[in-house]
Amino acid sequence: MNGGHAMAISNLKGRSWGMIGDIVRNAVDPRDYLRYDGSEAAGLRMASEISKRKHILLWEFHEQAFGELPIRLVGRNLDMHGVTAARDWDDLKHILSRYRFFVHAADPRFEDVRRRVAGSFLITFPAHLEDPRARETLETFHRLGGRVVDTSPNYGNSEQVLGHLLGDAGLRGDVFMATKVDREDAAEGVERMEGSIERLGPPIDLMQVHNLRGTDAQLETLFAWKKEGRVGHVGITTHRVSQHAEMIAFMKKYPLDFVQVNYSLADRAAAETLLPLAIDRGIAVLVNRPFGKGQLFDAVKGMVLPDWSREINCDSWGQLFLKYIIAHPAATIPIPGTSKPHHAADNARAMRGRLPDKELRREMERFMDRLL
Amino acid sequence: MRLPPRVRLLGLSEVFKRGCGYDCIIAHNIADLLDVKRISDPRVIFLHTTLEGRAINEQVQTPPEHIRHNSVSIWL
Repeated sequence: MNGGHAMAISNLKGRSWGMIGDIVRNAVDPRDYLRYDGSEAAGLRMASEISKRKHILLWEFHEQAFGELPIRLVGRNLDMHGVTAARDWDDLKHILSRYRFFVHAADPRFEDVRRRVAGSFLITFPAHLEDPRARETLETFHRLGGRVVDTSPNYGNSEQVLGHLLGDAGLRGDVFMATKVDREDAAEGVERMEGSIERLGPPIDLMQVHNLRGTDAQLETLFAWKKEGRVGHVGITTHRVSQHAEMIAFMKKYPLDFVQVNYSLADRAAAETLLPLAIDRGIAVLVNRPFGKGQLFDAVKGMVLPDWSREINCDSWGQLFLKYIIAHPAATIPIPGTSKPHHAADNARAMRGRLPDKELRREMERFMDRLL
Repeated sequence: MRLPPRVRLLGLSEVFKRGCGYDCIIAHNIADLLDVKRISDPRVIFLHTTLEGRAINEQVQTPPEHIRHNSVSIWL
C-alpha cells in the first residue's frame, strides 16, 4: 500500500492521537437543520454497531439511567431487531427535530460532546479522572467541613472518579462514603456492590438500595454484610413522592439506619409522614434534591434575599434553602450535587451560623409558596 | 439511503476492475483502508475515535500514552 494521510475529525481526537495539524474543523450550519419541535414524547439515541462498542458507548450505564424512559434508538445495528438507521440526511434532520431530548451516545472522555447535538436538549455525564475542577470541588468541600459523599454506580464513572481523587488527595479515610445498589436480583446486587467497593475502596459507610429496586433481596444481603463489617450502615433511597408510601412500609419492616428521600422548600411531602417516622424509629435521613431540581433557584432569580435571611446568617439563596432542610428535627443531611468549587464553598457555609426555628421555617414556606 | 447529486455507489469488485484513477480515496476506518490497499491512488483516513476510546474498544494493553509518544504504526 502506498503512503496516505490521516486527518482527525476534531481537536479532541487530533490531540488524542498526537496530531498537531490536519484537523477537520466543525462545519455544521445550524440553518441546515429543522427547528426543534419536540413532538415525540421520547428521547433519542443514535449509535451504530453498538454490540461491538458497548463500553465506549456507555451502553450499560445508559440502559440503567434511561431504562424506564421511552427512548428511540437510531443507527445501523443489524443484530438489534427493529433498530434502523435514518434513511437519508433529510430523514435524520427530521428525527433530530422531533424528540424531547438527545442522549449522547458515547463516553464524553472520548467524544466532543458539545459538537454532537443539533438543536436538542443534551443529557450527558462528563467526568474525568484528572478533571481539575472535580478535584478542586472535592477538596473545597472537604476543607470547609464536608464529610458525607453520596454516589452511585449509576452516575456515570462517578465512583471511579471519587475513588481516584479521594485516594490521591489522601482524603478517602476521612469521608463518610455512601453509595447504592440498583439490581433486582440478589446475585447481581452482590456483583454490583463488589464493583462499587473496588472502585471506591473500603470502607463503604453506607450502602443504599437505589430507588427501592429489589429492596427485599438486596436488604437481606446488606444486613448480612453489615454483620460481617463489609458495610457500615444500610439504607434505602427514593427521589419520588410516588414511592414514599412504599418507603414508609420498608421503614416499618426493616431496622434501617438511613433513608434517602426528596425534600425541599419546593417539595415538602416527606415532612408529612416519612420524616416523623424517621424520628420515631431513629433512622437518619439523607435529603436529595434539596433545591427542588433547580425549581427554587428559578423562582428567586434576580431577587434580593429577604431581611430575615440575616437572622440565620445566610448570604445566598443556596444557604437559605439548605438551612431550611438542616433545621428539620429529623436527622437530616442535605446532599446537594455540585461540580463547581464555588458552589461547594457556598453550600458549606450552610453548615455554620444560626438555623431557622419552627416559626421562621413556616415563614420560609409561605415566602416560597408565593413564588412557586 | 438517498445519495447526494453526482454520487454513485460502487461495490469493491467494481472498484478493483477499474483499478485506479481516483483523485482521492477517503477511508473512515482501518478496515476500509485495508480494502483499498491494492489501489495506488492518494488516500486519506479520517480518525473518528480518540486513541483512548479505540484502545478500550480493542482491549489493547499498551497504554495510549506510550502509543502516542512512540509509534502509532505498531498498533494501527
